[in-house]
Amino acid sequence: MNIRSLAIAASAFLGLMVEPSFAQNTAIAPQLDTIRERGSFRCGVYENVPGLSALDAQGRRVGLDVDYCHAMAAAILGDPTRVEFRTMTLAQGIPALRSGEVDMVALALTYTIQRDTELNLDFVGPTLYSGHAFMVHRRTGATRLADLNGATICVVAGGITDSLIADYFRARNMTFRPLAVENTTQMYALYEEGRCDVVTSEVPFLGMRRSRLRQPDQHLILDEIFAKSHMGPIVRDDDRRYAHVARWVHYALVNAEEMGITRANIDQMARESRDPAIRRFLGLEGDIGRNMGLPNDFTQAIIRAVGNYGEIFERHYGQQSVIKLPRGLNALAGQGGLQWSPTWR
Amino acid sequence: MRLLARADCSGPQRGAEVSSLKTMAMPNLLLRLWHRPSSRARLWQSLALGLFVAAIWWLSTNLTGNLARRDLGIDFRFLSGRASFEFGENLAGYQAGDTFLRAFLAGLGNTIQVAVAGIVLTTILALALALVRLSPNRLARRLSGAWIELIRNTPLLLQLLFWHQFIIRQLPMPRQAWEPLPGVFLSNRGLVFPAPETAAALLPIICAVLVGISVALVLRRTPSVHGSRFYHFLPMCLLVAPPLIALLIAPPSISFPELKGFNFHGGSSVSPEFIALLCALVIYQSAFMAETIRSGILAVPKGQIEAAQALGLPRFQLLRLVVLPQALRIAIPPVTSQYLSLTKNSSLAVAIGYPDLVRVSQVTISETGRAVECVSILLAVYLSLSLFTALIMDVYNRRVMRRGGAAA
Repeated sequence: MNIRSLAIAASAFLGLMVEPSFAQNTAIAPQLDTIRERGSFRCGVYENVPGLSALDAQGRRVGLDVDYCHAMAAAILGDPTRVEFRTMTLAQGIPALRSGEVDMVALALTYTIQRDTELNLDFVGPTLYSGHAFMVHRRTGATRLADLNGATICVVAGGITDSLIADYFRARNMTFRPLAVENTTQMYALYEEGRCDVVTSEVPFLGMRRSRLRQPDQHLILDEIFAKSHMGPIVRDDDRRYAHVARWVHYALVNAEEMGITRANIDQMARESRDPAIRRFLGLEGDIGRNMGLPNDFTQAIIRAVGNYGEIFERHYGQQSVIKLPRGLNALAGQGGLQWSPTWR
Repeated sequence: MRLLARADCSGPQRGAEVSSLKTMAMPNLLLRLWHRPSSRARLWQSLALGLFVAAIWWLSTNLTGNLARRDLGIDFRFLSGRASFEFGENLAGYQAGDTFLRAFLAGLGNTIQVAVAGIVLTTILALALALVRLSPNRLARRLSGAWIELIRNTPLLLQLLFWHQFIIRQLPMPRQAWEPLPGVFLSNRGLVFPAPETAAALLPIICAVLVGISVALVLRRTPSVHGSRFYHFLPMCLLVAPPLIALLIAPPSISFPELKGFNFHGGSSVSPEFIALLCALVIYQSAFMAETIRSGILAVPKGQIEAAQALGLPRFQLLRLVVLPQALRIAIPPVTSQYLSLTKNSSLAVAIGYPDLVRVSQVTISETGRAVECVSILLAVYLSLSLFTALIMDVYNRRVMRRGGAAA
């Protein structure tokens, strides 16, 4: 390896990096067409985060994010089972989406201005209104956020959580030692071992994880939320039609709950309902769906597949799950929460 | 040329030969070129070169085309933006709010720390292991052979996770930390020890050490009185005395670690992730390197060892003066590749949460979305580190070769 060959290799590398004139500037096909041609909907989800995406006892993938993937497949392809799940870590999510590897990532990513504008992404939802909180060992004696000065905090690498914590602590002249690990399971294992004093996540997930620790009552979830976190699946925004479909799939779920349509009564509603609003929503009148590039009754396919938003929530986070999280901020807007849908006409 | 001469050897001049060549039909000319090995070889090589260039061209247009289509574009200006994540201990003095470039330097510093410490420890351990592997004691040979086989045939990632779990579980919480020496605490938050309060306090000692080394190097060249005990111990005195004098004249103020609240404050610390990473890398790489060194030792001609034994050299001196210098000459190229392998394997630090270059790259990608730029920075840095290591080893190799040639 002498200087000359090194120089040749370096110049070749640089030449490759700065050569845009040879770029093949062909336009990308519309995303809906690509998905239909492929025949399946590619969704990036977590490998094993109970409530969001995990394997059940029969080996099927279940979770809130998983249901959204099924809903998208039902809307676009008519068949909710035609989903290709790509499991990934938090750090891999956004690069995989931006490079076109998946059609949607559902990794409970927080809605931020930078992700929306600079990274050219669109958010679906938020599917979960929440905030970041801390869980500490009781033996540390900390009861408020101010007690956490100098603590070792475990975070998952690749998200914005450690930046949020750094901002919060810097503003209050406190310091902390971060420990960033690859995935959530490892993070909670290290926290339980005592390698870190504090672990952080969104409130619903903290509650669920605490119930899985060996001694749940030895751990305290601090009340104070140090940063809001409204989360949802993300899609690219370069294809506006597709981004509209993604957003309106979520609104369809919320609207269905507002109208009282569930998976159990969808067939009856479709057959017998005389309410023009419901008929328009289900695609029996009007051509809203067709103008979006979808089958006119795409909402029926969605609800038959996964139910409405309330059912999805109850199944994975509510009373039917082990977490038993109250609806709280995630209730319908008319019932004291924040979930709303625009008017369907 | 020779073929043509044979065909027309008597009669026409060279100019006529060339014109008669031009009047020959094209297929005939091609056939002659085809039958000539040198021109055939040139044809294949130009074809291969053409294919290679076409492949590179296709790859680069593919990359730039996809980037342009997805509107990702390559732009390194994000490096001057402000990073807001916390990194932990680092040599570059990075804190949340500094630039991304500083963050990358901090990650680089941590990677280099692991690489340098790893290389030094691996060499020592590998040398020891190789010598045990060659010992006349059969039990020692078998045990070390079994150890090497076990370590070589298990994936490094698994070994790393094992060491990490082992260290985390065996060590106590900070409140019940072990104190092997006064002021030195070992807990599952790491090893904390007293250290000078500022790096500047070490400056006099470092200067003294450098002065001692340079004086010793200079004195090596001057002729000495052989057999004199004073000259035998002079290098050692030169290394030890100046730092001691510096310590006495300007003692650095030491800060001692104290347990306050969650953790120890003061002193300097080494995190358990660093220890686990170092253990795993050193043990793994030393198994490979031990075999390399052993093959170098076995490659020394048997005559050398017999001659040395005939001279009456004890085993240790035989190794030090006769075998190892020749063995290391043979072993340096494969040992270089072991060093490079260790440097690159240190990127597994992400699996246990040790903050190094890969972690900085991950966080930067998630904050700025610049995946292609960050990964290319990673590639360039690892490439440079490896090339630099290879360069140093090459210089050392040439020096040893030169000396070996003169001695032989």
